[in-house]
Amino acid sequence: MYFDEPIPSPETIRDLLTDHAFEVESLEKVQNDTLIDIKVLPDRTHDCLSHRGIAREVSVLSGVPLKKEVFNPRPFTAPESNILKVEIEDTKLCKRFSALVIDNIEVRESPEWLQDLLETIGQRSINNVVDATNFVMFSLGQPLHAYDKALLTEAHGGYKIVARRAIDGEVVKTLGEKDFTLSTENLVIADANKDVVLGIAAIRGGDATKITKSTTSIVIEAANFDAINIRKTSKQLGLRTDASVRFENDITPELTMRAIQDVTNLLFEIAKTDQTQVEGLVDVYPKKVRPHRVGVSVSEIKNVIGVEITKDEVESILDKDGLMWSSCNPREKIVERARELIGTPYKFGSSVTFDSPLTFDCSSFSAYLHVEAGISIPRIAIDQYVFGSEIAKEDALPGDLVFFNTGESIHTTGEYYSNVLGKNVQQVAIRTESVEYMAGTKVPQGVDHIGIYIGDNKIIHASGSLGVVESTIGESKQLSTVVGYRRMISNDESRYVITVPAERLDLRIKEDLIEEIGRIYGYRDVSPKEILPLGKDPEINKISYYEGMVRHVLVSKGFSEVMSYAFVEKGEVELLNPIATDKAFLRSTLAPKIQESLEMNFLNIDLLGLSQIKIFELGKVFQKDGEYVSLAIAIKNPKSYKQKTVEAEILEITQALAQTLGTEINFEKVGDVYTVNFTDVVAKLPTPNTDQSYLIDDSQFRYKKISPYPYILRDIAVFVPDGVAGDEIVNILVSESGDLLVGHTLFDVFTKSFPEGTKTSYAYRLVFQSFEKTLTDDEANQIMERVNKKIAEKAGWQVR
Amino acid sequence: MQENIAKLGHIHPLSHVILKTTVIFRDMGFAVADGPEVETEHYNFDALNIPAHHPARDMWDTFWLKPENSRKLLRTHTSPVQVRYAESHTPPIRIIVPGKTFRHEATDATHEAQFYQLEGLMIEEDVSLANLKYVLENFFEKLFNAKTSIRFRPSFFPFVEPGVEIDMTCFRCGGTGKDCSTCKGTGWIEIMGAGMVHPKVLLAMNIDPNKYRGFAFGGGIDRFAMLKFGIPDIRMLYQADLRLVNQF
Repeated sequence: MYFDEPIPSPETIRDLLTDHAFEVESLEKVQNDTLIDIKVLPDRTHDCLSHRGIAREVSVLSGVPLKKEVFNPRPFTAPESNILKVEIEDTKLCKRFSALVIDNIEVRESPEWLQDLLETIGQRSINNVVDATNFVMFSLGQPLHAYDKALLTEAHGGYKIVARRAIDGEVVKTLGEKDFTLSTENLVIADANKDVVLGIAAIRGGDATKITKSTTSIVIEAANFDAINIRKTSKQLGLRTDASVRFENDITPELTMRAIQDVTNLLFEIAKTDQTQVEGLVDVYPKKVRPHRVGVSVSEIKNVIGVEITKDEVESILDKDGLMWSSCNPREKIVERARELIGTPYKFGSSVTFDSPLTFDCSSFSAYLHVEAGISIPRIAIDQYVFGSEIAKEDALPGDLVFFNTGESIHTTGEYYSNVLGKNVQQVAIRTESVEYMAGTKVPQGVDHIGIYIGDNKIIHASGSLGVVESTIGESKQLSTVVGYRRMISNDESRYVITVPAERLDLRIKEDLIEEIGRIYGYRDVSPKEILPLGKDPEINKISYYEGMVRHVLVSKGFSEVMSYAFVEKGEVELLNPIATDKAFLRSTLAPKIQESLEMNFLNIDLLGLSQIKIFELGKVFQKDGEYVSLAIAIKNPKSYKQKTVEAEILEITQALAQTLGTEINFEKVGDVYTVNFTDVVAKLPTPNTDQSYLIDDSQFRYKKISPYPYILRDIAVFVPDGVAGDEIVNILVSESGDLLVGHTLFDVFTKSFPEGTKTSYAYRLVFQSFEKTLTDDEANQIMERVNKKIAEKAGWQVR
Repeated sequence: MQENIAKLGHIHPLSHVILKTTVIFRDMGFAVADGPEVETEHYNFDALNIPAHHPARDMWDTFWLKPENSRKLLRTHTSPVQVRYAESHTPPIRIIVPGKTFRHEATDATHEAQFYQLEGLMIEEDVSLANLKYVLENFFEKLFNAKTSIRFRPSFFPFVEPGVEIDMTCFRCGGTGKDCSTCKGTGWIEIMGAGMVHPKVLLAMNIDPNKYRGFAFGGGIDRFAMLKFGIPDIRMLYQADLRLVNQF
């Protein structure tokens, strides 16, 4: 459909896309075909949420040419409609509205090939007209909508459609018969002759004018809507459609006529009658987008990607990628273009995109010249001043910029829409600090005028009174105060100036182009390049340093570090969208979770082979007035543990911590848990001079499976003759229990004199557990019987 | 059979990884930086070139805090720290940010609502993807105690351009994929996202993109630990259960 020649195998396409474009989720055999599921990257949703976009990508990467008539058809023409009018209320929300009236079609089932194609990508066939609009949407990425013309309201001999904001409370019944109540935030398409809503713009059409078997004449809409507005509406209504997804990712308004053309061709193939004819076209396109240009040089690509790409390779990639490009010496280009533009009228606030090269102000003039030379510089004069590198007057070369303070106010009033800040910026006085570039950089002298240096103390500039003109620096009052000379061109290397295809909204700045060339070139050839030593030790992070110290002390005292969840049932800081009601707050203290952990681990004390449970956690807690790192420690001893009381041990630990850290620590006790605000503790400590790490050799660590089943305990004490080591008992225990013995602890040893000699008693606590099931007492008893039997066979051994 | 004699305690497997990571990067001149876990929308999104109402925001499922108009959230990555760090530091900058992050998503064996992320940032006059490759190969080799190499694939993150996905050769099977459960037979492990810092982000950090450039990367520390130690379920890391911790 998109290629004349055979394309590579699905596997090869997958590999090409993976290495150079997108991740491929799956290859799925469907009948005699293969469905490739591609994860289109967010920055490519403008052009690649479409089969044509992907075909283009496959062509670029495989070298198989695209079908010319599909990708570069003759432009579509149709007479202006005599019966349909379209009005756009807000041209920011609806940037283009193209509509075509076709009379005398026949609505029927789609041909099998179309039904099959739609089914393959999970779409249900409706009828030939709706299917045609869907097919073109998936192919091109431009959503369309078809209305039954007969169901529109006729007045004064015609029909009128308007794209307008909804009225608060306005209700629309959409396809699928679901009612939505709208607000003024939502954009609708309405029948202007009757003032009823026909559909939710960009998202879903209405039920009232849908295409049915009895439809004979249709109005086909291909429009362009503001991405943010559509995204908001889609979220608000909880209505996400194939169309809304494409609009909210932003597509170029340039696509609408291609969509009209494609769907018309298709309808003439599958819905034609003897009388089918195009009545006419309406295309409301208030602000036609201009091609975007962006530049790059070979060394810029090399420097960022880190590969030795050549000029020829870059040019071959640009060609392969179907990008229109030229190359120039930027300095020469700027001066040459400046000369050509002498005489162009001045208009304050001229837009580089829309007004150049018809009118200029001083900074749009310099910005435009740089675009021509493939250099992106800021739009505002003072930002250009901050952007450029400083040069002395004597070093100025043709193509450098000269900045003035004119002492006039011609450039200092008005308003300017900043794309960077996303809002209007008031221009009130001469600027003394930068606005968008390195915002806030001070330029105390103030800058309000720019000229292009052309040598011999002369400039070409857009003058408020004279338009673009050549002048000598100092010849007038306006040009007598030079604030400074600036250089925008870092070297004389030639630059590529690329005219970006309309649908490639992702190619906007130099870095985008570097990525485009780099990914097509392939990142495989990037070889690791060593980084040079900095010549000084890295700064030491104070809190991590002292946390490391605490970990070291606690671990050496037998504590283990745990981590618990930050989400709790009650706290001081509440979540707006918790994952569950018992996780609606952030923890304000570590104590409850540590208490829980203490109890839980205590139940496993024998399995763990521990004589006490000693745990700690270092983690952020959240209170109304902020967050801090809390340290929590806790100990739980079994009744049999007699060495030390918990209180005595905590005191000992507290002292050890205080001594190592060099400051007092005051734990607060809640239940069995002792906590302290560790951020506060660290605040009192000095900034460390030399780092130290308590690195532990982790090369042998490997997770061993934890059984989900309960364990069973058995104690055994055995008298063995002098000279028999406890290990011999262990050997029997192990060999008789197999995998079920998961732990054994020696808990008592003593010797006793018997008539036959001295014997030693070894007492072991045995832990039995299965990975497959819950062990029964019977099973444990059977093991113990086998053990006892073995021991009884040994001369002089005796189970107590 | 488990060793049952535990004289000393144990640090958490995540702490093992963070400690080791810190040392490996310190040897390459990277300092550790930290920042708050409760962040503002500005640092977590806006300053990182992720504007409100942009579809890119969907890449991060976010926990927001009450009241709604505070626009406070739980950081979804440790990337905000790079912007905070630049408020008090100028290039050359080499930092790593290991820290806790949060995502509002359903949990399973590989997804948690809280997890640790490792962010890295290097900004100097002359930095390229080739340097990134060196730094990360060095890191993975030492972290996993095995010779590994990495590859870049095109990707997208709003705060970098170009953006890349990073795969490393499987450290267990040596990249052959043969009968390997770690890499599921592919020989590669998807391990990180990275790229060259977007000029808009440099500007938000008050760093002149005309003079400096840099790379940034981000990966999951939990995932490193799971791979390194063979821990099968991310949720095990937060159960405060010594049956896990005391294995390490």
